Amino acid sequence: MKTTMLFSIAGIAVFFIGLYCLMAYRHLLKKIIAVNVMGTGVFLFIVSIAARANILQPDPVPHAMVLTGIVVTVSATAFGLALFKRIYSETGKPYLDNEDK
Amino acid sequence: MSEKDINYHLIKRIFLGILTTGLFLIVLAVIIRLPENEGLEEIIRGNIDKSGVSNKVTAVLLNFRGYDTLIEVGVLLLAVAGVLSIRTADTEIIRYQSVKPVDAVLSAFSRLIAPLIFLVSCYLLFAGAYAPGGAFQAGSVLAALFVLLRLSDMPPPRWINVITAGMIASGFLVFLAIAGVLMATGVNLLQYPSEYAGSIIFFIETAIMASTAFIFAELFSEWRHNR
Repeated sequence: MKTTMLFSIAGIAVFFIGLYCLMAYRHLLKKIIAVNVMGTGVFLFIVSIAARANILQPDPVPHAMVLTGIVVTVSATAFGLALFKRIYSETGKPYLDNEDK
Repeated sequence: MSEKDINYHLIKRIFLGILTTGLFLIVLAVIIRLPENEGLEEIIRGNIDKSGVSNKVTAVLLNFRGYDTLIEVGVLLLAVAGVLSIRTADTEIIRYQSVKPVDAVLSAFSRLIAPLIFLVSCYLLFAGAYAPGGAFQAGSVLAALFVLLRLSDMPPPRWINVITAGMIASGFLVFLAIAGVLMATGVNLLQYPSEYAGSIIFFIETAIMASTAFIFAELFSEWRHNR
């Protein structure tokens, strides 16, 4: 098995660990962290895909996509944290309680 | 928490565990069979001379797929607009306020390191043309400098409130203006004339660096005077 395939599998595994945490926990900070973990898994997968054909001359287009993705993830995380802070200051609870009544 | 609740949560987690493991195995079966693909590496290597820079990732980011980066800077602007509209005075429990006593070691050390961080971010901006680096990396380092200065209780300069809004918007506006001017000369969106491509890319990158630095600093810990 090639090294790049190992990185691809690791990326997918990290993505699904994040997906599990996103669905399993109610705390909104945990959900924000889970989305970040999922994103990191996707980035690892895309970068490993870029090096698949030739590990010394990787395809630069996926690299540029990942760079774009990282910047967008950072701003999305900041937006999520701002929403979380607003929800916490309005309701006093770190989760949405419109379920499990 | 009653016993019924505990059972409910246990069942929910086991179900989700089985679900995500199953999805993982399905995706695994798909990616193992992915066909070999050369990708676009050779096409980019063949056209790198026309792009104005010698680093392939920078060439893709600001020349070949410049519209992606244009939209990305727009997304950053939207994110900061969203954060500013959600953030109200009472959600900001830890707004800028001087902590007494001022930590002498921290403030002296951050004074010492601030010019160095600025130098590193300028180096990253220049290095982007021929090596890994570029506008977003340089902007993130500069944003880290702003956060460091705020955390070490450095009083923000008087002019910072005036320039913040302009600097946040500058990256997108400069990029959009260049795209508009190029389209007015009759070429496609962001199709640079190859003899000026290097200078245009460097100009856009400088604007994006300044803009990214102010946006990230604003998103995570604004270094400003109280209104």
